[in-house]
Amino acid sequence: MTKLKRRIGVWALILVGGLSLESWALHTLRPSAGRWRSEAVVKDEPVAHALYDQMTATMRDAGSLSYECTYSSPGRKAQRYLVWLKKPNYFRVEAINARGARTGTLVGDGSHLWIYWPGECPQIDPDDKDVPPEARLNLYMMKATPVGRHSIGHEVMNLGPHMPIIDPSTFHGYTDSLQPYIDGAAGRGTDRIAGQECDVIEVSIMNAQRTWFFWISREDHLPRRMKQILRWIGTSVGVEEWSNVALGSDIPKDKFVWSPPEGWRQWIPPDPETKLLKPGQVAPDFALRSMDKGRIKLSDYRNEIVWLYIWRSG
Amino acid sequence: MGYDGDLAAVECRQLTKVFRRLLARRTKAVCALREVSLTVHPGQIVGLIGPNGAGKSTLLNLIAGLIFPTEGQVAVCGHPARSVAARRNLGYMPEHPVFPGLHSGRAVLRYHGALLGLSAPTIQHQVEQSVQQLEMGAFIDRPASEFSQGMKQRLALAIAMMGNPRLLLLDEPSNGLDPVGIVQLRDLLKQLRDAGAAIVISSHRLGELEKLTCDYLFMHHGRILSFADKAVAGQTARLRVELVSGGRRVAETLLPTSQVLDASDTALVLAISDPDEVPNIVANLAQGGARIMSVLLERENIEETFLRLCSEGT
Amino acid sequence: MRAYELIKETFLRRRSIAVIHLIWLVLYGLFWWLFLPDPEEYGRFLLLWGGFLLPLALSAGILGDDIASGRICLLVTKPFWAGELYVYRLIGLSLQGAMQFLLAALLVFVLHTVTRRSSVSGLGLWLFASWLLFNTVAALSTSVSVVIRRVHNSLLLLVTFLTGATVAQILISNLSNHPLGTVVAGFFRYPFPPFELLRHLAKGDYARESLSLGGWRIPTSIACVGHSLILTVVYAGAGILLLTRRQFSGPRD
Repeated sequence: MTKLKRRIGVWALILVGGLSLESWALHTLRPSAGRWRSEAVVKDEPVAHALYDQMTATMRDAGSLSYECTYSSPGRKAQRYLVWLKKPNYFRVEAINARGARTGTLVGDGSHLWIYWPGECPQIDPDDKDVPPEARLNLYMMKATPVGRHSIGHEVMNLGPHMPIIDPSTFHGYTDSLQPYIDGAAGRGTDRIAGQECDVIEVSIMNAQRTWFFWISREDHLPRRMKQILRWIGTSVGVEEWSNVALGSDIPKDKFVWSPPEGWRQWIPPDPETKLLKPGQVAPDFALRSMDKGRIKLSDYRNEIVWLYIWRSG
Repeated sequence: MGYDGDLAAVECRQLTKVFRRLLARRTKAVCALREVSLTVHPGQIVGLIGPNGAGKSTLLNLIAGLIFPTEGQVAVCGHPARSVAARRNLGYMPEHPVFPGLHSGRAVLRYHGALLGLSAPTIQHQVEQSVQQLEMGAFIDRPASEFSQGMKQRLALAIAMMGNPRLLLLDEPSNGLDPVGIVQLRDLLKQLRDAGAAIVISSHRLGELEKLTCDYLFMHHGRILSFADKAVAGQTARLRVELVSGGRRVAETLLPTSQVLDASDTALVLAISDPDEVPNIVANLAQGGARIMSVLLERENIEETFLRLCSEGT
Repeated sequence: MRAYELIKETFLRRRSIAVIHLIWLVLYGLFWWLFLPDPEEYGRFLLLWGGFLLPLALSAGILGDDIASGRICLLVTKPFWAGELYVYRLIGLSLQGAMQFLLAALLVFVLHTVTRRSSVSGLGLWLFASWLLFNTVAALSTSVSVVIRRVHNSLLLLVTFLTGATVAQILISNLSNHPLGTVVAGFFRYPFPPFELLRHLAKGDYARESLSLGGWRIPTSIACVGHSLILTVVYAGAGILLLTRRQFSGPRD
């Protein structure tokens, strides 16, 4: 009888152990319900924050910088950008897709930037019947570039689908709009990337709506890898890897010179004002997913004043 | 020879097995065994005889532990039929043996030896012994899928005999064996019986069983009709007298009608209860003018016993 | 000896097993070569083909063949606990899966070195997650093959999962703002093989780029691995229970 009791005891123990392990696992694995987690907010550590500031300062103080960055995000093909930066206001970005084909080039010659593409202008809607196919080729964009007040990172969106995590304009003195909202930076150990010892720091922004990880090389205080997590309705993750980083090297002047060849036309993005609703026009109904209320429709707020505020997620 | 020890090899008590189809519209239950009680001692060979559907295979499967009784208990060497201890003493040969096709016969033997938990040298020794005993050397190395029925039976028998079990269950072992094989099987079973094993054979070919000195168990419709040993089975004898001519006249005039089983012009079949009567009957006939060509004493064989029991039982 | 023989039998059970392994490896190579996928895309392909379809193909009729042909009678009358039959065959399947994934890793590494295209970072985690999924689906398939004869266990599971996935998609997307939505999502996420959870694990959502970095994400990774192992054990337990309680007769079964 004691043998039977012992066997029952052993099985009961195994069952209880397994059940508790499984309930712990299920509890840990439960979905985050779309709210940004307060646990993700990083408490500031002075040492790590100093590393972050040193990284920014290295970029600001350098005379020239060139690197190759590869941005990848789940579900999308990786995108490569070749970046050359030179003081005071020179820059060049070439975008190359996963197959190795160039998809666009951005050149800043000190006062203006030029954007051109090898094929059709990607900004024109492919289904737009008003623009015939031959009118989409040989186009370029041009903009003025006041020093320290324009963002190369945003302009890169004309070349490819991804915005780099660190705005290259930081080199020219531009401050990212997210910087004032940093919760804190904390150290996360060290790692070895591409043969370089790197310090890993985690930075959370705006109550962990956005989290950045930087693998900062100990040699030149520039990052070799960055990871970005955006927490909104879902979670989106992107990784950027830097390679061929050259700080202070001599970059030939002709990299930053471009003028449109014969027959090319400037393409001016259409004025968004033309697409906005006029006062008095009935707004079309739309539905969006809310963070905590499921689906909300504009028609839910009929006879109320609705203020639509679109901001950049933290 | 004889029964040694008081531990029966097989002990069945009031075994009943009802097969019920799970999804039957009306409970179509098939009662395969009805209150079967049986004891088999070591050194005893029991032959199960019965037509198809009598429940022979069911009884063997119950003893082997492949199916569970609806009522009653079955014990092998003192342990309940499905337990590991019971199976240690068991060797089972199914009616239609199946082997994995890709392996050679030798590999199959080794596989089953490993399943028994024997050590590698023991397996090797046993395999060699089986191959020799059952004369399988000619085909043992061919893939098992190419075996003929007789080869498969021999291989299955070798597998059942591996590990020298104290109880052998053979389901129709002579199915597909050629006459030489049947003789070898008989000798083998006698050897095993002399070594102290208990053997339960089921067969519907009564001729082979008859030549084994064994006890018979007659089954019909799931019930045991009679458990008899050989002596009893051969009790009623017949006398077959062949004459040149005039058999009917002789039968009518010289012999009581109760004694005459069959009469034709050239042959008379008489029932006799005692073999000692034969000389008197022959003298009687000869004196009566019968021209006798041959006299043959036939014992009732198992078939006739069985049919007799069947007709008695219903 | 017995364990070795039973495990070996899983590898040599049918001639088609070697063919399946070969075909799958060729598919891995072809997918890499033709589509030059990101590690994430390739990992998802691995998870689906190697973690879900491969165990179904390898375990087709793993016990159902024996039961249907009557060979099980020879196995169950041997003096060992019938559960060992199940356990060693499952271990054999698991080893086959591990071997397959190691070969896949080698193949991808060779292709990557030769063609110098795309990237292999993070594939190790995808392979590990695929192996965990392989184990879970293999256990489920083996348990189903105890009751379903021949190869129909794999077909049944394939059809069930395809319909189940479609139904789950429809239900979850329609019930997204209904309070019952979380219950339904949980129903589809937890008791069945953890496709979604393992995908998150492998994508690196649970750890920052690698398991070696410390921090509070490790518990979630461990929870995911533990959950899938527990699921495997639960499926296997159900299968063992069915096998030991089951009655066998000859080929009529």
